[in-house]
Amino acid sequence: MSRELGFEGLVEDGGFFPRLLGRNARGRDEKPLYGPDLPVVLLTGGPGTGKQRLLELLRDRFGRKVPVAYVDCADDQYAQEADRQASCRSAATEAMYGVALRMSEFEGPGGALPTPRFFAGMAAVAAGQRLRRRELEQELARYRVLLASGRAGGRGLGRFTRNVLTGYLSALAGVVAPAAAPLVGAALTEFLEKLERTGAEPVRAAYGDYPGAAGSAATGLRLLAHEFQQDGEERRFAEGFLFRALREDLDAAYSGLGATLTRVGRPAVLLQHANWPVGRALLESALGDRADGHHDGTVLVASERMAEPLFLADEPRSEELARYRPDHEEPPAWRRLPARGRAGQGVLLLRMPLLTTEHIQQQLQRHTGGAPEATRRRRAQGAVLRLSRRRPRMVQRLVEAAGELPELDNDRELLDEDAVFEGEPHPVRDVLLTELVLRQPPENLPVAHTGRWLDVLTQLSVAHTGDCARALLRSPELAEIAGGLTADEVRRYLRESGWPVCEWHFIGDFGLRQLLMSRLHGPPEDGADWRRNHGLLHAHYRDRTDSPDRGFGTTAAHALHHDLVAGGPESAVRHLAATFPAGGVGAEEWCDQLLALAHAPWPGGRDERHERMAVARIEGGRLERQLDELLHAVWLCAERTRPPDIAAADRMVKLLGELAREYAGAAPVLTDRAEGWGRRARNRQPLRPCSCAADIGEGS
Amino acid sequence: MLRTVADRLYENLWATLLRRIVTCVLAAVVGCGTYVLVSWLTVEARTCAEGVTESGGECVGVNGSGYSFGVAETAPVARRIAEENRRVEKRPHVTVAVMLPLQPDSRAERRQLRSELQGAFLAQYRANREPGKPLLRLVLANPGKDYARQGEVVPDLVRMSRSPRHNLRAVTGFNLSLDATRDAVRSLTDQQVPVLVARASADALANRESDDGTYDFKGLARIIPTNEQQAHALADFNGSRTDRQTVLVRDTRGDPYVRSLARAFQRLPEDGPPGPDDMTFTSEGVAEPGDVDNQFRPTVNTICNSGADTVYFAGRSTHLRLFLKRLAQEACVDRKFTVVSGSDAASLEYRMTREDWAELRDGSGKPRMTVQYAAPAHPDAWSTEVRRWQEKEKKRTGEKPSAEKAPRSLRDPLAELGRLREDIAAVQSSGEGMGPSRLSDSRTMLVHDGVYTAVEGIRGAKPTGRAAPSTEQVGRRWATMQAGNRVDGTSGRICLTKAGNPYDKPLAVVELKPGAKDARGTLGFVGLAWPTGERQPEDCVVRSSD
Repeated sequence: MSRELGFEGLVEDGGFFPRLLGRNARGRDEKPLYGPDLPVVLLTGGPGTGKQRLLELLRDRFGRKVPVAYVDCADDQYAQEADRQASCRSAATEAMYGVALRMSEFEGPGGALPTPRFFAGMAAVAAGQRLRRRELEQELARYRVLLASGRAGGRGLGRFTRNVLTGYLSALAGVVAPAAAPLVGAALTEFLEKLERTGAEPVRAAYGDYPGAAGSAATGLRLLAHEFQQDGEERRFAEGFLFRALREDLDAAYSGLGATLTRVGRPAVLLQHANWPVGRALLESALGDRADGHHDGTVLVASERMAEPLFLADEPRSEELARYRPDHEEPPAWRRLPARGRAGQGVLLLRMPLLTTEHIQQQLQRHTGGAPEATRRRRAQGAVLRLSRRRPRMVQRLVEAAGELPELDNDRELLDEDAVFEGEPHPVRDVLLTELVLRQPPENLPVAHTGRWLDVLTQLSVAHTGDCARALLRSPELAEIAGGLTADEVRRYLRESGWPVCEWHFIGDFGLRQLLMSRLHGPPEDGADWRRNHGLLHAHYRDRTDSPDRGFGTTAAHALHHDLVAGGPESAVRHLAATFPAGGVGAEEWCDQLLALAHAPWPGGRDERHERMAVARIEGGRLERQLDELLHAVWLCAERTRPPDIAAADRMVKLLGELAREYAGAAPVLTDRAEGWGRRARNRQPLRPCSCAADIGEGS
Repeated sequence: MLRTVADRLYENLWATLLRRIVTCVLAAVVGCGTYVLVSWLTVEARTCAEGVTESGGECVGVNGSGYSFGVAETAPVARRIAEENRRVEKRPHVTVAVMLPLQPDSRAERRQLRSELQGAFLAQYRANREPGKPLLRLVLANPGKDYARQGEVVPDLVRMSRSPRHNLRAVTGFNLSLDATRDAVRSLTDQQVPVLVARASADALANRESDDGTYDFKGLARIIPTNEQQAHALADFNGSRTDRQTVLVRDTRGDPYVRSLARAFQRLPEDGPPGPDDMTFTSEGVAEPGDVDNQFRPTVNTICNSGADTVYFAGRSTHLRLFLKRLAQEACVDRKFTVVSGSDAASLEYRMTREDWAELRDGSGKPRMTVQYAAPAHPDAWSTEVRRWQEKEKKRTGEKPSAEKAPRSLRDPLAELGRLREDIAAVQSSGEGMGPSRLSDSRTMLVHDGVYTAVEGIRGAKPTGRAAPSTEQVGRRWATMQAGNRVDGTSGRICLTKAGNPYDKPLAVVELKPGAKDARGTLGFVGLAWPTGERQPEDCVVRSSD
């Protein structure tokens, strides 16, 4: 799959990102979008929507044209580096150091961007700690590279480097031992005094702004060093201020005559996994600064999983957040609106684009090498479309799996086909679950549960509601697997991971649900766990007194839904016959129950539904036989991992018509359903719409 | 591939403002360099000589270093001029340009040109050997055939007039009355360069006399009477004729000389019943015979059948020659015609071959017709007139007075002509000479007088203590050149009116003499004609016209 697939409108010349950065990938000018006040662009979309691919693409394609720094906030190397000198570093400052380092290495137009303010802040933080002389020198030497000026670096910066750095280091010469720790404080004082005297004006202005500094850079730096030593909010504030200093450095590198002559576009910081703590800290401080009027010209692009990140969710606001759906519309005319709330006023939510049918067709064509089996390719294409829901990563893997154009009856069979993962062929189901679930655990999931996360999800794939899930996890059979993880926690982690929610299914994402179900079922001849879980749910609802059920009408019907999968259709048919509204009373509820029952997944093995919709196998009266046939016809029509079945639709309509003729009381409702369901089935629409099918037609 | 190259070029040349500025500067430098190089190479390729470039197959420009524009006939005189220029180069000098078409096609024209340049050189020779400052440097300006490229030369002359190195103070020459000539004079005078017309006689190249001091051309003077004055002089010389006896043959081409000559002939007072209507022909150019001979056939026939005996010919000498031959061939045996024309007929002598002359004689060797015109000068005029005056005085008083007692209007030009002949002899005997010289066509005398008048004007305008006058001072000087400030020319005394026109300057009425058998014909001096009808006043003070 090409790296740009699906991002054409975003990264190509004249697209959103070239305009946001002021340069396209070929280095040509683009009319800048927004500015001077810029929104923080949050890429939203669940796992597999291509956020990381897009950020890496931006880094690689634009990084030579404009200064672009890429930070993976989930990378624990920042924490590890911070731990080496825990008193004067943090994961956040390491991430910022990474950004500053990248800027100092920029070799494009204008050359390196020096970050003296950030340097001064980090130097002050280091000097304010009780470090040995050598450690302090090492720490300062580490940051010194950040002062490397670009070709356009002004004379002022050179003077600054000479005066501050050499003066400071010479002041430290007298500090010889850890015992002389108070002297380090004295060294900090001297450093700050030198800073005052030598007129490093930009630095003075930046730190003079520190809350409580009252215009004195020395006081500001001292306060910064002090607050950095604290935990919690104080440190977070100090880190936020360092990030502001860093962005001011980038702004400074982009202002003045030299910059006008030599610099192009806008500098950018790309935060991958910005929902992780480091990213969250940087993002919130930048949004806070900008909300307070400290606007800067750095393009900030961050990836988020949720459609509306939680840190924005509870903000009071009367205005919708600014949103941009690149596959549907042009970039909006973003403006900072106070009515959007404090942090929300500064963001533009960019929903990751899904792939189009044409994209899928092209990819399949490429993988199958234009094989002539048009019917099988269409079948495979339909399966990829239905299972992937156009999610790029799933499309990519499913297309790989469909490369041989296997014979497919049910789409789930495609999940057993192989895709290459880390050089080895594996069933595509396992590959996708690894990439989408195992490699991207929820950031708040306790480490203790990481190992069981996929297994828990797998067990819960048969659940419809929270109640189902709770029943399963409480059962003695699954308690060990759950390991204390509750259904509600699972639901929260899933939502925070960016997986969609559906009112009918506990695992709200259709594709993920199919992957997990397939994993639960195992090989076609197996299915023991699958039947067990359905059996558990059947037992759970059967034992409860018959009471209303949101999805199924009654708990009895809910139980029979699971029994249909675990035990076969007999009970369900008899229940339907027993409750058949021959006189017309409760006919609608009965039809809804029929539909809810028929939404059961096919349990696997040989599919006999076509035969049974033609000739009933149940023993009983005419009504039972008619309902047996009807249940199997509706079951086929409701199945969403198969192509639309016109024969089943016709049979369903015919059977409903027969019943309507024989039972005049129920006739109006039955005739109405015959027409509605028949139309929907023929039009490739789900018989019972729900969220996880709402965003997509069923395809061929 | 192309895209990659374009991107790389963009990256290196256009990506930042600084690169754009540097690229633009470099592009400008390269562009200018290329332009300079190309122009230099082109100029080099187009250069005929110093200051002269090739343009439309001609060598156009200004030169004073001996370049003869590829004309062998004028090479010796051009070299003499250059020699004289070098002689004065280190001393205070002014420059006078002689503007003439310097690359004529026909042999006759090349000889005329030689005469003109000789006149210019002789004036320089004389000016630089008599007391008086500044000295004179002479440059030749070629405006191309028929003055067509004067627009390329005028700017050079204007530049030279503003350059202290050249000190160009007057432009003279101008031997053809054409629209382009007038444009050149207009352009020069508009840019304050004084102009002195030596030989062009069209009325359009003269300022009209005016009382309020406003003139068409500022700083223009001329030393040759206009066509109108010539026609009057001729009419006055011949006495009145009846209209029946005269017929006008005129060229319809747009040529100011021809136009003004025709107008002048038409205005001549005539008595008696009207004669034949004007006859017209259309020529293709000053020196282009074209099919004019054919056009003359019916014309001449008509003239023969009319009662006319005098033909006024308003045309160029090229066509006059054809007309005379045609008139001689047609058997108008019973009548002897008198053909009268203007000053351009002075060139006729050069154009006539032995055969042509033979055709103008009848079987007994006598001329078939009288061809008469007013030449601006004739070398025999002054001696003849002085002699006639002496005879006339002898008849009146019975005693032949000494020639020194003759009127100054005759005596002074005679002396000047003598001096010119001495100069010619001196020049011809020194160095390589200046080529064969002949005074009878009046060109040497006229151009000599033109250049010499210019020198006198410049010297007269020079403020005391200054090396040279300004161009404006020279331009204003023309109006004062009368009486004691007059110039005694070989073609007559030159006294200029306020408008810069010569006051009552006499014309020499000449006749073509076909000559004896097998001999070339000559121009015979008949008598002097005075434009005012009266001899020029002795004091040479311009009288008011009314």
